[in-house]
Amino acid sequence: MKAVKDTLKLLGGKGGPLITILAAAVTPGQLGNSDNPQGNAGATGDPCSSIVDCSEGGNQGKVYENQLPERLKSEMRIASESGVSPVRAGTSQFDALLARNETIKWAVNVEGELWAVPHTVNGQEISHAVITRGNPVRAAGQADISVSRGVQYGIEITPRSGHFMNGNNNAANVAARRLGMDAFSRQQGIKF
Amino acid sequence: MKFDDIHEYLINLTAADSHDALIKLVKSNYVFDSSIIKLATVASQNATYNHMLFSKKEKLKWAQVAIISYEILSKISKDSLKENKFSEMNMRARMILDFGVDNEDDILNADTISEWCMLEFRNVPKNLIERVKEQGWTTMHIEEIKKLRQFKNCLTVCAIIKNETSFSNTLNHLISLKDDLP
Repeated sequence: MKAVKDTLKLLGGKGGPLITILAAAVTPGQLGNSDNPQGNAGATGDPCSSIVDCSEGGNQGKVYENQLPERLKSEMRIASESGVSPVRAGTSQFDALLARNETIKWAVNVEGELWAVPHTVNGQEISHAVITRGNPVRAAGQADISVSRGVQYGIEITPRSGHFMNGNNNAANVAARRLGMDAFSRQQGIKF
Repeated sequence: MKFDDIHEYLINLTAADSHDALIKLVKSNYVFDSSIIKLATVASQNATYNHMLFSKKEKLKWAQVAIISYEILSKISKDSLKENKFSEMNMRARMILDFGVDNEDDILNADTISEWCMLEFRNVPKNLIERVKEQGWTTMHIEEIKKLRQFKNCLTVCAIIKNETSFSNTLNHLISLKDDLP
């Protein structure tokens, strides 16, 4: 693998010759698994493992790092310019975010706290990494929640995050989603 | 070789080379994995972030890389189609705000967004919006609420660019109903 990457680097910035080599190095079907659309980690058989805690509350021991740390500085700047600060569940600021009735991004930090930001502000997508300022999470994703007459209704929750959940197998995604649902329920009183 | 490793290379190419390389990967029957979401994220940021690193031309090309990545991701994980479209359309809207509407350009063509929204509208049962107006949505079945929210998300993107382009009367009317939807 390292040899292939070194070769690619030596080829320089042109996509053409790079891909000729790349395509030769990769056998079609070698990567990924069409039966396992969520991931690449060999998630066959029992989805629960030493990596994925499938016990009640799920995934409690697993921590996900920010996979794009080099972009954090500009992501924080964009969020700031968009007037976005992360808000914690159980606060009036969190209620105000939900009252916008738009898609949000959420994360459960290593302390187990649920935080969130808007998915998008004026078409500018806000990074998940902004929620924890680049620190690791136990789970992250997106959610649609709607508020009517002060009551908050959970519509949809997913574990989608290019920063933290990238590369997860299906079982890890299931566990992350479950952890998110649990956090919304316990910390904000929202059921999905 | 996981796509994650190829990703590191692609994001360090120029936008045009990254685009060409991605196209060649597709044509070589390379089997992508879900880690392509990271490329979609990076490419979308390169296209929309307000910094001086990239010219307009490069940003438009990064947007194409993002769209191809979202499309691949949607094929890998069919459940993610709506989320990918939502991210893609928000990116398009952001770029239209930055560069203006250009219906000759694949990315800056506002019709792409309105057509997506009207397509989603066709998935909403005809009486659903009428019922919302009459009795609200809180007593509806969760699947009906999900459909309405999905459609509302499309309207939210349209609303971003409503001052940049002329929508049909139907779409303008639907946008005006947005706040009634869950």
